[in-house]
Amino acid sequence: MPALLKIDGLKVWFDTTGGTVRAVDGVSLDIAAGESMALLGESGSGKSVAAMALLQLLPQPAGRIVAGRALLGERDLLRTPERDMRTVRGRRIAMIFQEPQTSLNPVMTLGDQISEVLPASWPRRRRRERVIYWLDAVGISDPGRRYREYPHQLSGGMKQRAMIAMALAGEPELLVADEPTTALDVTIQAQILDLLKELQRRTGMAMLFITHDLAVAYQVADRVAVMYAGEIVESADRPAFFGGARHPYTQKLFRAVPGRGKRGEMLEVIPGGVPSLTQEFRGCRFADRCDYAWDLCRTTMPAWRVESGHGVRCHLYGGAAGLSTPVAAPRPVAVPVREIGPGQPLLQVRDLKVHFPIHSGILRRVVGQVRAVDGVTLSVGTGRTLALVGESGCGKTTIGKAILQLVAPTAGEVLFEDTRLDLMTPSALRPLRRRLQVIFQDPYASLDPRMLVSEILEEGMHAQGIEVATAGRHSRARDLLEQVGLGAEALTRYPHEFSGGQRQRLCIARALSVEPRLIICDEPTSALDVSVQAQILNLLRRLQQELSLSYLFITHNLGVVEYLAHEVAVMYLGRLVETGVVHEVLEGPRHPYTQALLAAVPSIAGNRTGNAPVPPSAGLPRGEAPSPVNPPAGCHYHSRCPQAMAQCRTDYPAPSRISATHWVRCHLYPADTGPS
Amino acid sequence: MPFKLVILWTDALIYLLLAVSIAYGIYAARHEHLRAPWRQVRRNPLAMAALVVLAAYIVTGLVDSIHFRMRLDVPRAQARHAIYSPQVLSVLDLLCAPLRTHVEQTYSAPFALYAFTPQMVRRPDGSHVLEYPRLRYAGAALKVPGDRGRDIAVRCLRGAVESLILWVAVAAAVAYWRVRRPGESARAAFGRLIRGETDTPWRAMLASLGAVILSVAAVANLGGAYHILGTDQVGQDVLFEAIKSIRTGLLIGTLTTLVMLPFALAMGVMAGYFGGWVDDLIQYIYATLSSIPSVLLIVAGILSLDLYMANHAAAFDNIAQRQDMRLLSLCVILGVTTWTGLCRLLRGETMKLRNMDYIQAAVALGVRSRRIMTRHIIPNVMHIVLINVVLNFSGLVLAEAVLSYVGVGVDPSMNSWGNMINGARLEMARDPVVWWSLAAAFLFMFTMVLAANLFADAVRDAFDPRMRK
Repeated sequence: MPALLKIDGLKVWFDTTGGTVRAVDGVSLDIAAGESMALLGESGSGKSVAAMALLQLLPQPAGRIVAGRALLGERDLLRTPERDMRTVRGRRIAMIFQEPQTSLNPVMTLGDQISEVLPASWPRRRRRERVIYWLDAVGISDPGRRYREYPHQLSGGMKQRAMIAMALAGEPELLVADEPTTALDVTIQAQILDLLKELQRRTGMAMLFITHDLAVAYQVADRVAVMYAGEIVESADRPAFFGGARHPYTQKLFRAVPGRGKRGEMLEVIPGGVPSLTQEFRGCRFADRCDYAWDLCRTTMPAWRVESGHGVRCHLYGGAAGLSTPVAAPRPVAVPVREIGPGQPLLQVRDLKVHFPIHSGILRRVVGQVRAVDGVTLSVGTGRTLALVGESGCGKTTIGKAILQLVAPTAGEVLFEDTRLDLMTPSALRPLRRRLQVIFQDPYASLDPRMLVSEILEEGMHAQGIEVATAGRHSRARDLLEQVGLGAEALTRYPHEFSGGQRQRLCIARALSVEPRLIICDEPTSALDVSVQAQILNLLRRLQQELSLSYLFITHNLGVVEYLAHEVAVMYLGRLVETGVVHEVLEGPRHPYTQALLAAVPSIAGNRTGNAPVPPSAGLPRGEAPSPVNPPAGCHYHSRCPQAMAQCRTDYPAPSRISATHWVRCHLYPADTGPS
Repeated sequence: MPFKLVILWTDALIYLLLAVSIAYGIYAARHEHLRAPWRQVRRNPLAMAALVVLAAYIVTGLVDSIHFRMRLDVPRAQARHAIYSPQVLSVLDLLCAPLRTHVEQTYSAPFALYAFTPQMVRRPDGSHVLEYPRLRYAGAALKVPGDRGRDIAVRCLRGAVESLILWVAVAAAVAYWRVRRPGESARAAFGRLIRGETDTPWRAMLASLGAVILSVAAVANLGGAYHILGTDQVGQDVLFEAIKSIRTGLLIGTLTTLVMLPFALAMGVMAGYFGGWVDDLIQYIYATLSSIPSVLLIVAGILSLDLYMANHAAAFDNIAQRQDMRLLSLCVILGVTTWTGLCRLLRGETMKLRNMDYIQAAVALGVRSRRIMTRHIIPNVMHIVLINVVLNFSGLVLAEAVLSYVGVGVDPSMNSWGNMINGARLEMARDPVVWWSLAAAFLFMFTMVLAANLFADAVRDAFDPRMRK
């Protein structure tokens, strides 16, 4: 197939005060017409920069294209003047971005924004018809009305659909999609991925899909290229790539993905971090983190070798035997992990409700309630992990904050070691706070940028009166750093000097500084790369075993749940719909919502052991979650449920017992006298 | 002792401000997150050149803030203890003694030898004629009035040579101690300095220092012999008035901030952090205050102070104290009317910070509210305070001029640019026009405000996170 786009030796450098960053350092890539190419890489690997360079959208004047060609037909995109680029952007190559919230202009109607892509010479009526055609094509219902609406009137998934409509309205030959589903929920992600594949089939456009998620790459790509530290280290067709990845980095990435199959072992981690791109590399860029590296790797840059369409940049494949057999055999790295049995309940939450009043009008009268949490009952045992799973906006973070009394519960009980936390005054609660700690999602927002690491770690000890003497606090801070795998030299540094994963370790150390019994982990790994996520999950698991910690693990990543959790609670619109021991829920999901969540998770076939038996009737949920201000009557899920019955629209289902530990709230199952 | 130190209220506050600034400097040098933006300011040539000019003003203001009373020479037999002059002088007054003491009869133009207005003079023969009398001090050393041009040229040349020598000495010192790398020759370091190849923009700083030195040398050589900027209605040297006004301008610009800062910081942070009724109360206070026209408030404040001083004349025994009290109260009143803007900004920023994860984590660790506010929130809003302070400075200096012009500013007898401009109102109506008072006030104020604005822009660029890439 002739190449539609041929990138050859692309180099993009950034001039910063810290030196020249070689963000993209010699990338060559071919994309055939109608092909879908996934560019896979962790953050900082240069994958987005490469795509921006294609459209000459690099931040100026810091970024510059140093070398290379990008041939779109006869035209070299890297040397096309700005005025001619305007005929390329949108018409021949279109781009969609990660954040649908910031990619649409909030003061323009959807119709006006999409019309901008269409030729200005078209009459207004024709443009309008075309826009409505595309809105319909991307699955936006009632496009005539949406045409006149503003971005804030659309949900996140709708905005991303609108972005896609805008990109496709110019009928491009190539669509560059930069992590288009990363900011979306898993059910919406599945919808968008299906939509992109469907549109690609219909229009025959090529797609360059940038992602960090192996499973997403498996779902969309015909071919996969892996980027590491500014260059492509492996590239192959999808079956070859997922059948047998060759580069040690890619192999490690596969083994770092958490899942149930790896439950009994520590996750594979890639030691160290991505090397600084300001240096000139002499050897292989991955050598410092590679298990197989030998002298040659550190002195000579590996050449790009291709055999039957599978290219790899590694010295392992330089031998006479060809590419199929690596020089050294991979060593299996698996550490058995001890399972902890169920213990005494440490935290019990009964019928917890958190409602936020909505004020309106001049007198600020309460006109409604956001029912963020609406009657949740759960318990966490000593040394156990309860995973709380749900889409964004379902109230799972609010539960965590209500347990910590960071937001005041509206009703219900929070019992911690037989103490009612919700009845205590702030000052009485203060000494108890050392027993419950929290780790947040964003490692960049959870450390005070103005404080030294030592001050951050000692703050809790100071507040709780642990280690009153300064010397004692210092030595304890050093011990904590060692416990989370950081050196004592970190004490005199500021948070901005650390990477995301290291910051998350600091957050864990801060939580541990007051010797807690329970840690509420609010999506602690969702902002991290796969290999770093593995490090943090391993650390959390090791700490649980050493210190008998309990975790309330709030997440939307079912792979993490399968790997770490003992019990699972699935949440939908402020209420729990299914709870049970991890294997019961994930292997035998009963609630249609749980089934849909599991079906929506992109998976690499053959890589996941024992795929969940999801009945084919489940399918993906329709549309998006309704607002918690005005939840649907009856079962909250009936508006999206493919199996909804008449009863679902009127009555909220009572709990049904599947087994001693497994409960579900759904009319499909006979009601039981639930644990009220 | 031949003198007795007098510490006026504003002097004490200015020393306090100086101490706070030095303490901040030491603190900032030890904290990377503060040092990095200042380093960025230090690399900005325009800002550093402006800082040199600003520093000249600040030094003048500080020298003018050391007050004392001279001992009077009274025969020992007559006085049991030393008697001091009621006149409060400052070190600047001593340094500028010729300017201060060369008081003519009335108006005279810049560099003039004769008075600006004709006077009736009695001839030796008894007849009276209307003529322009010779000035008492200007050009007193000249034998023939026609020598004036040559004398000025000679003095200017001498000043230029002096300032060149001084400037070269400073430049060489900078090149040797600040620019020279280990092992580099002094010559090479000087070459790099002149070519502008230094990290800190020494060349720009030395250029503006050269301008400052040249002006000082010119004043030193010409000021004693002529009235460079003429004299005012009562024969006072206008240049001296303008120089004395520097302290007033600086004080208004800085003390106002010092007065309002604790209010704005405490109220803004508390409103944002606690929310609820605390927020409602503070919002109510500043909404009320900011809806009263500020001029009205200032007029009311100054008039009631005037009344108080008239009723308690004994407490303000000399003119310096009265001027000082009036200045201080103007600072306080201006502070009361300007704190709401900063308070509002800080409230918003605190509300944003309160929901940051690290504040939540601190609450979850059981850290007390007061400690969270002082340890987490205040350090994280300090950049807003700093930006606000430097941007407000020039506005306040200009506000003083406007208020004094309206008549509710500083004491009418005090030297200030506003009073000079106020006086110029009548001078501009004369024919021929007496333009030099207004021009001098304009020149001095313009230079300071321009330097302050340039410096403030650089500070904002360095500290405002949105300006950073």
